[in-house]
Amino acid sequence: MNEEKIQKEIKGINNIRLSKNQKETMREAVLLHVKNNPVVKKEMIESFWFFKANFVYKLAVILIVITGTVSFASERSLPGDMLYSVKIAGENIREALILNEEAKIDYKVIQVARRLEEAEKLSIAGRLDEAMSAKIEDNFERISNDTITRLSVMAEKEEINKESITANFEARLRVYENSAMFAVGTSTLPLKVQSVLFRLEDVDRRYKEKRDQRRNSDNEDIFQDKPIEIGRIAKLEHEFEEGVHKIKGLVEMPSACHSLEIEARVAESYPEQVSIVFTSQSDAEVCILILEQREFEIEFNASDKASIKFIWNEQPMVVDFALE
Amino acid sequence: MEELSKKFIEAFEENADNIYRFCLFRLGDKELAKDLAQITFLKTWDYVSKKGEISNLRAFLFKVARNLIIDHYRLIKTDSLDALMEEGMFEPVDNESVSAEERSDALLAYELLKQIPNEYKEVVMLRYAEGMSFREIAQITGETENAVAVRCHRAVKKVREMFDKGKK
Repeated sequence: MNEEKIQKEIKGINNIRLSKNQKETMREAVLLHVKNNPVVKKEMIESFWFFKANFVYKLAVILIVITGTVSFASERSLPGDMLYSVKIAGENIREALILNEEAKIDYKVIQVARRLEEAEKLSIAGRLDEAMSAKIEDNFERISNDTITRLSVMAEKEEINKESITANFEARLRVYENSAMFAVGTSTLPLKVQSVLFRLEDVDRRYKEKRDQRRNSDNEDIFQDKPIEIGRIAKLEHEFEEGVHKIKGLVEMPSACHSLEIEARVAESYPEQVSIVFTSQSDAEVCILILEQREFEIEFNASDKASIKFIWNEQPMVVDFALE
Repeated sequence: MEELSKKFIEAFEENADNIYRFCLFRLGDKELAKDLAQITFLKTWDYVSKKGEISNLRAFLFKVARNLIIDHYRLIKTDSLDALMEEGMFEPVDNESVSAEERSDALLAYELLKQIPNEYKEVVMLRYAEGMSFREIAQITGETENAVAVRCHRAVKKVREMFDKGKK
């Protein structure tokens, strides 16, 4: 039987379908749901903002809507050019449209690098005077501060792929760290770049400290949470025949007063992940703590490749027996 | 009705039977399959209405259905489809909805699918009943295209072996 033949045979399954009535009922439910849950319109907020925006922003919005970007001319523009404000407005709009914080920080890093690149281009073109340099410094400082602040907040929460963002940020800054091109009059741009690099290192250090603290505390928790009252499997036998697993053995109970329930939870995937869950508790106020071995036996359906783990009152059990 | 809603309803018309079938063969329970198929569309709309259009809505619907089925099994932790099929509780074809010929084809396909080992059933259904590409299947199962292709190849080999054995 070749692939084509299999396809032909299996296609027959497509004759199994919903009856007309069933589909009609389902359609009504879906239509009602669609009607009751209309599309969330972001444009409503944006349109209000649009009317209030000044001409430059309107132009940038129109360009982004029509072309997906602000014009190439404005993209290439430098501080002091007529279209530069359109470029900045376009960046601000794009940034506002980014909802994911990590992507927003990434975009800000790009903006920082752009400001430095612009300063470099102006310097090469001999257009970087003191006034221009001061303006660029302000812009650079403003965006860098915002980026570092956001990065710190995210890093504190450990909600961020911080390594890749800081590495990217640092690499972009290092290019300009000692650039002599910015040495115009009293320009302090190289110093500001170095200052941002120091702050970035500081964020990195604090992030690592916090991460280590958390790891240590997790380890302590694991140690402290190690259950005193955990059953231990003393004997284990496993049989598998025609898709049925049979597991039996002896489990050491924390005391003779403890009850024991056992169930198999089979997660439907391949290979199946099976949890043999022991639930045990004791309501006795006084009980002699003598370890007692109790027999257990359970059967479940799963393939021969299923992975099996043992859980005791929601805690993983260490099992020293190999299941064969 | 706006554009997105219209497209979604069209997707419902095109895929409702397929999603129902997919659920039915994984769950072995018609009523439950119907419910999960419906929930699949409702959940997908919740996503689409907030996030906008999805590039491959069909694959997305199958993915949602697949996740719902997995969740269901996690909850009930009981009878697998194999068990239900073996017990004969699952009559796959309603007389009212198909012709005699279609019913016969469906039963043949059902018998074939029943014999295919569990790990290959899903990929065989998506590939040969739904006519999906490896890429689409990979989107649904979360595997790589390569892994899907290998599994498909093994499934065909397995079916061929089954038939050869049957002939002997």
